[in-house]
Amino acid sequence: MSAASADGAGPATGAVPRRRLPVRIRPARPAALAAGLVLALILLAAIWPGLFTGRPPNAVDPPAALQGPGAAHLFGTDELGRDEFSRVVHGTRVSLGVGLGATALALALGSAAGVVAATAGRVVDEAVMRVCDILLSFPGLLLALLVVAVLGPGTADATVAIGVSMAPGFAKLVRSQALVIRRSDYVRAAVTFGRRRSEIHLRHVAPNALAPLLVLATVTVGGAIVAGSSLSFLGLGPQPPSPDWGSMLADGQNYLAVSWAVAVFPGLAVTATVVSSTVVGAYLRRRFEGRGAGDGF
Amino acid sequence: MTGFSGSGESSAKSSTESSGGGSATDTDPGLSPLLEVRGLHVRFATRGGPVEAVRGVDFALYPGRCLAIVGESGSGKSVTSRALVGLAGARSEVRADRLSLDGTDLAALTDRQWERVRGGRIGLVLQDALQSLDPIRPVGAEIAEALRNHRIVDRADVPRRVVELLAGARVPEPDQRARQYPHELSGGLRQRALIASAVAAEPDVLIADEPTTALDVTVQARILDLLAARKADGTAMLLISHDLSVVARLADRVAVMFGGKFVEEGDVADLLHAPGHPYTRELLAAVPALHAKGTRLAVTAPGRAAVGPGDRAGCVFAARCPLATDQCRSTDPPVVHLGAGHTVRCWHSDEAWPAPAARTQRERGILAGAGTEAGAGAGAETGAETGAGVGARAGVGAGAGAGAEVRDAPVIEVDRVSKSFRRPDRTRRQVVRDVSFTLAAGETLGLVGESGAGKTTVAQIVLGLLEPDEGAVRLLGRDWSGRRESARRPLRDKIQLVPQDPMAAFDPRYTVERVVGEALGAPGGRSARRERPRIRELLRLVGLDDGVLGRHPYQLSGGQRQRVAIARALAPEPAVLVCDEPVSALDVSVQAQILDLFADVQDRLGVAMLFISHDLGVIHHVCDRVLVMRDAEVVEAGPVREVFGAPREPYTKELIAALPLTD
Amino acid sequence: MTGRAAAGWLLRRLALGAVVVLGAATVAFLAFHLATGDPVRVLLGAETPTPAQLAEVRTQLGYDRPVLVQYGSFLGHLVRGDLGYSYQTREPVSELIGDQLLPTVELAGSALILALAASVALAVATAGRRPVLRGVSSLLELVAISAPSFWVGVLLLTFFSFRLHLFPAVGSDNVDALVLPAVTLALGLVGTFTQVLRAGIERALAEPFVLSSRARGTGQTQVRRRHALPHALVPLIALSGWTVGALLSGSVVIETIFSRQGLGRVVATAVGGRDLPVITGVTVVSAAAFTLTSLLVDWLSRVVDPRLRENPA
Repeated sequence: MSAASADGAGPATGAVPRRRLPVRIRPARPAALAAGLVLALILLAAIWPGLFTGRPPNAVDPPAALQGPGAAHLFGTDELGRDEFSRVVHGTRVSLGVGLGATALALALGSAAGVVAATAGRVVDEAVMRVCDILLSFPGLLLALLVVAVLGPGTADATVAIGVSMAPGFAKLVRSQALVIRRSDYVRAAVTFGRRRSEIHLRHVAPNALAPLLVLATVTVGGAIVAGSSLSFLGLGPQPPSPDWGSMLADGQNYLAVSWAVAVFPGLAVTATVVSSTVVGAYLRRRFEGRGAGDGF
Repeated sequence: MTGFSGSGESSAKSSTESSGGGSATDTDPGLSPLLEVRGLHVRFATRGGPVEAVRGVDFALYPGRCLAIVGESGSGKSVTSRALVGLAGARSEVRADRLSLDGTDLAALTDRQWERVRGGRIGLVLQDALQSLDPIRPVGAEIAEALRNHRIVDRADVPRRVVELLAGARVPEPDQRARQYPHELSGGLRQRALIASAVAAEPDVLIADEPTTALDVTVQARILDLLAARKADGTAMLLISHDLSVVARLADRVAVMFGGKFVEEGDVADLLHAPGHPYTRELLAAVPALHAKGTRLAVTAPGRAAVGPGDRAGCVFAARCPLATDQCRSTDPPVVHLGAGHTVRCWHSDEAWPAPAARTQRERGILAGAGTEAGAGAGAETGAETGAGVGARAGVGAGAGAGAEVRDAPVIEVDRVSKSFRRPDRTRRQVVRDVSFTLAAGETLGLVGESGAGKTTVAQIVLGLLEPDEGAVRLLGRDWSGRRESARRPLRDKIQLVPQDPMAAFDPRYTVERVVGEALGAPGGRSARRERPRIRELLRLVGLDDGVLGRHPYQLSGGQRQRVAIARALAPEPAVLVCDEPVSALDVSVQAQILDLFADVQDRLGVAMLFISHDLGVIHHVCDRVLVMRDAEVVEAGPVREVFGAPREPYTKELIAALPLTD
Repeated sequence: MTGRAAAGWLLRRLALGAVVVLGAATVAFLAFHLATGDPVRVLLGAETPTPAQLAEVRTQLGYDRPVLVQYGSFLGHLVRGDLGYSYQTREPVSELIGDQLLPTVELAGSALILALAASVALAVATAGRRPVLRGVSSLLELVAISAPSFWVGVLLLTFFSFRLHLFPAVGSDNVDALVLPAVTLALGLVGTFTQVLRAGIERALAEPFVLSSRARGTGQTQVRRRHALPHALVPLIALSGWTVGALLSGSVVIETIFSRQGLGRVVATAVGGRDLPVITGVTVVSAAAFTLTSLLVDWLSRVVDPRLRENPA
């Protein structure tokens, strides 16, 4: 695929030279379009699963258990004879919901904390940043696991857990962006025009610090989806019989020797969602960076 | 004497290879060319199709001689130099009728053989050693790399030889320096280390690509001396520069490059004193040091070289040339011999060049709508005249009230200001010490000094962006420093900044309209649209048309951006402009246009300017009075003519001696 | 930087790290107390205890004391390495962690080595050249990053254990049993590592110092090895914190799939059973490990990139 092409290094293009931190992938337009199409289909499945399948996801049919993919059951059936395709399609809403919900929560918490830290003076800044450091010292899923241990398993709890565990990263990013922007020449210029501090924060600092965050969020949705499905794989997310990609895989794990299909399709759904949202996000970020705005990381 | 020979197509046919073509005096019987280039073409594959960066260039390098290639950015000069070491780039295609080093055909070399040539036969020194030396290796390692690559000395002797080479490049305490990292060295020492690494394997050809750009003038002079010593030792040298004054110090012959072609070549003295090509004349006219205040620098319209695919017929300079005719646009110009070894590619080299116009008082009077203006080079312009000028300007608002108030008092009074910053190791560094000056209405005061002298800190204190530790600043007779920001705000309009890097000074989300609108007190998109007539007027004042209104700054050229920055600074009708290195990032011809614009603006609006620059030439051209700063202090001050004509302080003398092209 | 400044830097960083670990312990303590449901009930399990029994256990565990006193005694025990007792197994948490640490370190270590070797090879081979290979590689990396480790593990299990019978499906006793889990854990890292390394190498290759070095007669491969790769290591080292997190989260899932012994398995079981002392203990230990890692990372970055030594912490 054309997902990654080297930066054009031709001379005399007249473009402003940009030195940016590594954008790990630089998808080309066609790749982003294809990914966008896949993502649109996935979103459609989340909003309106009936469009793709007429079968109810929880219809049990024991005689037809653990069939391979075929004409009757596109993705085969699980150990209770439920149609795997229907469950994957209906699982979209749950899995995507956890990913998007967690990202939205992290975005809200993180940007609020970041903006407060950047604007409310040194003591508050120190306090917020130390709390972030502490929360960031729980590696990976551990903070989310701790939150689940407190709240108990469930869809909403898993969403909150992941959202909380992602928030400190966003907060630190917003704050560092805001600090860079506050020292920038254009904020200095606004001071020389006699603009007020509050107005400068509102017009220059906040939008320029938050805009890259929104774009970054599109990339992190993928991570949140993986985290959510990992929790549900461990039995800590959405509870049965709710169809969810992670728990479907966990259920299917015991029947691997009989049917490979139960292991393949839910995971494929997660991977397709994450790949397409990451490619679209990276493309958006690249477009955004082209405008000469601040760095993500 | 000529050490280099370029040739036009016509003469090449009639001359022998060894003579290198050109005219008879070009032939140097004692010397045969070390490096010979004929018909060099370099083409790049880009997304928008192929771009021909170099289109048929011929030259030769001789031992102990220096050829300089001069041109603006994008002219193809650096690409030419890189093609000579086989490093023009991954997407490049290099073609040449002849590309030979001492009889060896370079075009036929394998990768292995190229590696032996690079560094071993041809050395390359790049601009800005901070980026050209690996930042995470000690500088000694870079020199050792060259020694090891070419097995110059035994492995065990490498460290000793590294130190010798550094000493040879006149680096003090070489054994200690060899272990230091590039960021721990000064710019001058870094450049010496880079030169030492390029000559470590004793190449007989040395290519220096902008070797002194971004260095302070006094350091520049010493680096040029070092290169001159190499030349005297018999190295054949190719110097790439945008700066005619650097060229004048080192080169024997000069080739002027534009749009991928040599438009003029000749001995350095001939070319500088009797330029034949319109572009060369434009370049010389644009050198601010050569022209007194009140003279226009730019003759030609802004524009870019046509760098299209392949060789189109017609002169590469036609689009920008004031003498261009239809013939120029349709037919390749002939090679004209102006004198001994001096050739030019132009249809009109015999035509008179429009003399650089002095902006006469009459012209300025018409511009300003009033006849009262200060004469060129005048030291003191009185407040009354300025007041009239301000009052007379149409449309851009009436600053008459401010003008009247300003009438007799100086606009800015800086009284014994000092400032220090804390270093990471908690000691304090004095950045500004005891600086005092005044700026009268309508006057231009230059602040000159090398990097780190404290110029920008002074600018920030004057702008009220930084509080002085001691001393005070008064603006329009009122207290300016030491006040709360809310108390300062009503006066903010009166003092505005023109920054060095306008790109960074514009909110990246804003269009040009909003950028200027914000300065008019209309920061929102909608309110900026309401102010559109005034914004247009301001843009017209700085020579931009309405087309730029909806564009983002990153879509503009460097010169256009600086014009927008000036328009924005003028929007609040300031009494003072603080210009912090406003032209140092621009090509000479663009710089000339912007300097002219500053002069026009001052003539029309009577605004006072504090003009900060490291470039004495620019200061000489723009300012009435000058302050020379060194190590946080003002070491000399006075009218430009006095300071430049008879400097008193040794440091100023050194600066002025290093100022090129004044002789 | 002088030795004294370096010592000062180290002291400051250690103090800062201690504050972070203390904070992490506090967060864990708070979580313990915020948890819905009575811990004593969880402890006593399915049987319905009498109020007297509850009160007795509560007194025994000190839960009847004021929260601040409990906090103080929690910290006091923590300093002595006492992390309390598991609700589920009644074992001391510190022993539990000590016993299970080795298998996890084994898994994480082998995965890390595998991932580093593969990604350095891939990045050096594809950075700035071989456009087709580079394109294919970046697509695979993206899939490797996006695919959840539990899925990759299950797939590997399906094909290599159940179909081909090459490796055992469960257990943690011999090297054979380590292969699939380590590969699973490594795959997620390889994608990210390769992309970061390649971006770093390509960025370095575009720098003027590479042109300078080439102009000194250095060959393509040496330039990559001597100049580009060290520069690319800086962002990779900076990623270490993420790496530790990814290894630990990965081991939670992978040890479950492959029924391996280890810390991850302990965490998964404890969260499912709401065994808060165990979770608290693992949390504090991993926060300490993480803090030490980031200290090590900062020191390593300063070794690799001398420019960083200029700025104190």
